[in-house]
Amino acid sequence: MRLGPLLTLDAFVRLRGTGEAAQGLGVSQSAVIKTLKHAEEELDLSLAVTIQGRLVPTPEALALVQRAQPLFATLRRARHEADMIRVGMADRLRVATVPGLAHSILPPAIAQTRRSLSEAVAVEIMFDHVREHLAAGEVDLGLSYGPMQTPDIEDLPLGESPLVCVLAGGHPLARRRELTRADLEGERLVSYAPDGVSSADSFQSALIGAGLAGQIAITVRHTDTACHLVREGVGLAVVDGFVISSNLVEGLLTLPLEQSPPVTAYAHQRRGSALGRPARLLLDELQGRRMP
Amino acid sequence: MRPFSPSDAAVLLAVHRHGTTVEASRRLHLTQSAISKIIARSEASLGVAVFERKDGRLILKPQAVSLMAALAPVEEEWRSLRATATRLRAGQETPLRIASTPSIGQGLIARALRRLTQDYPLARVELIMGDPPSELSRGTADLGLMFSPRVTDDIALTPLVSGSIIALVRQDDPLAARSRARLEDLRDRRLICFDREKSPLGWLIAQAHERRGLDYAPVMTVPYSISAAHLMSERGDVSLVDSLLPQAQRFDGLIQLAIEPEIKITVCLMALRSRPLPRLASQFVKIMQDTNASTEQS
Repeated sequence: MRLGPLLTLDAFVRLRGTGEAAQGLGVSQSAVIKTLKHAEEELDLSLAVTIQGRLVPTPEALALVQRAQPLFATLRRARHEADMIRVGMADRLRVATVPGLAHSILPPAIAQTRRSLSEAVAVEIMFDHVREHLAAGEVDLGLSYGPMQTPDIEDLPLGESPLVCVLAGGHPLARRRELTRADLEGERLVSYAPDGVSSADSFQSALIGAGLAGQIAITVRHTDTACHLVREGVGLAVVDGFVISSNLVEGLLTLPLEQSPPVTAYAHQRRGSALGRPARLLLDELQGRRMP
Repeated sequence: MRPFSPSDAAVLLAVHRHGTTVEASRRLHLTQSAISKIIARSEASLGVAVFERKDGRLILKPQAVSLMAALAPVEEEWRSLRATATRLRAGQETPLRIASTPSIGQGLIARALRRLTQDYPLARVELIMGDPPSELSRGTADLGLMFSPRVTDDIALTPLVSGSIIALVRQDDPLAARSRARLEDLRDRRLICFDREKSPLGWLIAQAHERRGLDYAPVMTVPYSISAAHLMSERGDVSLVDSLLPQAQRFDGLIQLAIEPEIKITVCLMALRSRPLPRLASQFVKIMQDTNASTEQS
């Protein structure tokens, strides 16, 4: 088994066709078909069959490609590390975060950490798949809305914040000091969708607790998208209060939601692995930062 | 340029572990010059220098520590992938999933599986007793076998084996002395049989009754022939079942009678037209077809 044919098979499965795979790999369609045939002979497995005039992957091809994903991910990660060496970022502070916290509590903490280290530290921020990045050793710290509750990862609560409503200045509710759930009836609400992987998510729990989970009309992954939608008059955003400390809500109003359940921000680190100095400083900064 | 591959990674890891190209070449059964060439090619492919030479040894450059850590799982993942390919060849990874009725499962399928497992001793097989068209549509089965099915266009049907409906009566039944019976002979008997709406065989049997001007009114409806046979507890009970059932299983105390006129049935193999078959399923189809062809010839 060789990597080249495996990558061709991966493209064929992922892009659903030999023509599409050829386009994706920048080779001819006949080269893709020839490679698949050679791979079939080498592996003694049928990898593609013609169904209704189209070559489609066999269940064995699908299984092989699925099992090859960890290897592909490792090779991608190695190439990424090589890229980082080339651009002088081999030694860097690596953080994985959910997008909701990436633009609120993280930027000021990173800015302070860099200042403490005389701006000498490079930083790489990755979005989503926080647990996977931590488990693979790809990041030093993770940030999310919930405890991971896994033996290998330590959960460190950073602080709590209620849900807040972000609205444009001209909105009819803009004169209020606080909003209730009843005020939001009939409003087009913008908020974060569940990420589908976190077992505990205090933001989604707060939405459910506030009775708003079923009322979200537009879901977004990033806070700035939510704020842009509010600026465009598309709706009213329900986000965590951590965003108040950021400049994302500039020109917009943030009003507390009455009786909102708390949203908790967590930092995560691999249990038993010592943090480097930059990561330790960042964690201190995140833990020491006054939460709204 | 050739992409950086798992075997390149294995060389870098071996050199890092053992410190010299000599030792790495010994461990990997490659020549020393092959090792040196792979290091040079890998460094060119990755665009970074990984090792530096010091006192005759190759030492990992400090900035390449994270790169080497990232490469650490490659060997195990490559080994695991090769093992997956071996298991796929042996039919251990993608099990053969067949949905059928019990009488087909115990007869035709069992015989074909005996042949299949001679070639694939480690094969994994899931026999599903359920409604084959539904199991195929749900994606829980690769193949379905059943009698005279009514299916939608997305399912390809291959007729395999012909049979007929037979009657089972108790040994103490007056009909037991005969080898044949007409449907009229079974009028006023407690009939244990299939539902005409839910079962293709029930529909065929009901049609045969109607053609003779008889009511089809089983006292008990069952999903499978085997259930009908097991439920015959009273004298005078009759069940109409497929002829494959007594071939697959012996029923002490029950006598089988041919039905006149014959109600023909066909065992059909079913597969979804739009879904490729796994290796074992393709092999299983071939065995079934070969068996059928040789039966027809003889």
